[in-house]
Amino acid sequence: MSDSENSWQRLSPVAVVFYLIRIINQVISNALQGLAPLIVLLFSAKNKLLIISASLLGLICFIVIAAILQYWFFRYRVRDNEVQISQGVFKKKFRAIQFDRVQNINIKQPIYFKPFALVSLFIETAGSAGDEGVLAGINETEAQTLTDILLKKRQAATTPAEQQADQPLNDDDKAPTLLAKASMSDLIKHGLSNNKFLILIAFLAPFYNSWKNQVNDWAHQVNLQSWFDLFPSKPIAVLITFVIASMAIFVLFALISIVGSILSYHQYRLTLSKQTLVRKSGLLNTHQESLNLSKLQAIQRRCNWIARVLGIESLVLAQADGHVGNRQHQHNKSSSLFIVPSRTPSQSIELIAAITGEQPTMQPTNAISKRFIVKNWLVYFMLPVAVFAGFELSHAQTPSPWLLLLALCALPLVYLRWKNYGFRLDGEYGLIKSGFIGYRYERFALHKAQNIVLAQSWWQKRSGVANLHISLASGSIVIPYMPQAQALAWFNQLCYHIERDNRAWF
Amino acid sequence: MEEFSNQPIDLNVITQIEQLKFCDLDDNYAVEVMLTTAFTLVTLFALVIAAVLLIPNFPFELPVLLVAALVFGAIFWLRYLSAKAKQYVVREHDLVFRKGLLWRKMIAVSFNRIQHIDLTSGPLERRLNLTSLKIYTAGGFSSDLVIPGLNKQTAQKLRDMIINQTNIALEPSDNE
Repeated sequence: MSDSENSWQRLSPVAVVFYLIRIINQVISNALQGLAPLIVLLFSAKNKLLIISASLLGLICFIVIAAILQYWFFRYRVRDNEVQISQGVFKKKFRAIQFDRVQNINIKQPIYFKPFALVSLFIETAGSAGDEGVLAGINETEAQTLTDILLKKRQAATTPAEQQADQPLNDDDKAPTLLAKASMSDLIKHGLSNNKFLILIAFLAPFYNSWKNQVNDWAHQVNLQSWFDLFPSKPIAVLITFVIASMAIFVLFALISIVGSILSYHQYRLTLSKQTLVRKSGLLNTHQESLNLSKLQAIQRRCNWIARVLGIESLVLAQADGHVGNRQHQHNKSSSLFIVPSRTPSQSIELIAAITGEQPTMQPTNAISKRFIVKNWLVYFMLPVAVFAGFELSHAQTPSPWLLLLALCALPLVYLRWKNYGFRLDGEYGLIKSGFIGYRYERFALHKAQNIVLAQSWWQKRSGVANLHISLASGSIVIPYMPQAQALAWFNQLCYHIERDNRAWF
Repeated sequence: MEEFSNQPIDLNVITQIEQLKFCDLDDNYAVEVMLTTAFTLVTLFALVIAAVLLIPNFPFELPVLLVAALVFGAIFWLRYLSAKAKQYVVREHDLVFRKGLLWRKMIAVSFNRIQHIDLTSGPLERRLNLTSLKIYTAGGFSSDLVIPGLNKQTAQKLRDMIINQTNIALEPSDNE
């Protein structure tokens, strides 16, 4: 490798495909709005077909040439302590990425790189807002060596000398430990529990009446009369059609989520070596992502009600948003989540133990105040009912009892929500549980907190409760209606841990 | 894990926030709030008067004006009280700010979590020798802490102190 270390290298020619796709993406996401008037102009012109095909051809030529040029002018080389990248056709850009500035390394293998054993290497540095170094189309083994070099150098740069001596020397030779895998049935379950359709149904159910009319209209248009004649009466026919259609859409959504789950999590492997978690998965496009344990902000066990029925949950390793302090780039939340699909609760706990090096306690010891139920029910259900009743009264109508009944039905849900809230201070860790039918546990090291807000309304103060908001770099956590003494204790403990603990949060 | 220890913590060692004495903001801050509030309320009241006078057959002219005056007066009074209710305290390692009358809030930001600090002051604030201190951390959207109405000199001293503190905290070993 000494030879290649000093000379500038080009990417594989297949990288042109990568640039092609990237340019097309850029055109679609950025230039399309600007081009819209032009397209309108084109369509209103006389020789429509000719002009459109000519401009389309021109666009394609432009994209292809741009991709080839980008490939041609891209050079990189690996020096002793940095990766240098020189790129740009008209505007030359030179970038040196120092090893000790590297935060994250992602290796992606799109399907068109597979036959050539090529990969794309994404090098994220601290504070680079989406402007990371991309080596698209380098040799698989070369990428792996580079990753190893980068991670090792980074390790050396961040661990103080005396601690390195402390670490057992054979740590280097130790093979990465496999923490988690996912079988095909795991992925199918994960896909099912990720199905957004049932949430859609829950939202649309209240509008059943208007949907019924819609379906009616539509049935008239499509002339479904013969189908409707099969049933004894029209409302039944409409209802059955509605149910069948919903089920069809449900199955479709389920299939889509399952396919999505398999595409992104096929052959899922999570390994741990030298304080670095590595996740590798994907059917068509393989994706390898690494996360340094010191960057881990919180661990969540998430389970929605479908997952609960299936007996699984997902473990989420939340890391700091890559672009800390840069608020414009925070929309990209999901990319900073490290998801382990389809765990059973005991598997999750084992995994947390393997990652944090100690057995986690997952039983909340404290509950929130019952006033949570009173307030939420009154404000979110009884208040609208009262307002509506007042509205009806002012129009000289007798208030209908249905809304009140609905509000009463909501009471058990509010109760469930209250019942599921729980929290626990456990040495250096905080644990918060929430949920309705599913659940969500979030466990974080207290010193990872960024800031703390204790909020208390006048009524809450009178009844001795308070809301605690804890901001982590991965997102914020709220514990509502905590008994005041405990909220203050958390507040003080959090301050103490943030200020006493010299470990970096990032 | 560096020389890992997990000793039980003596709760008496931890500073209790509830025992602290908070400082008020600069006296001029209440003046600033009163001036800006008065300006908007007077404008709104002028609009109400204009509506009463200009719209023909306006019902209940006098009661409407009276109620408007009462409501605006109450708003003015509340704004004044809430300006007076804002307090902060600087500790060795953090800054705690509290505000609110009916909805009280207490925000703590530790110096070693601060990403950057801004000092801002508008035209009126400059007149009154006031400065707002804005603190950014890495946590989420609503994470910034804004302390308005600080005396200009105090704000600068505070900023310098925080910057010094964070530098000191950054220097040894963990300069990631």
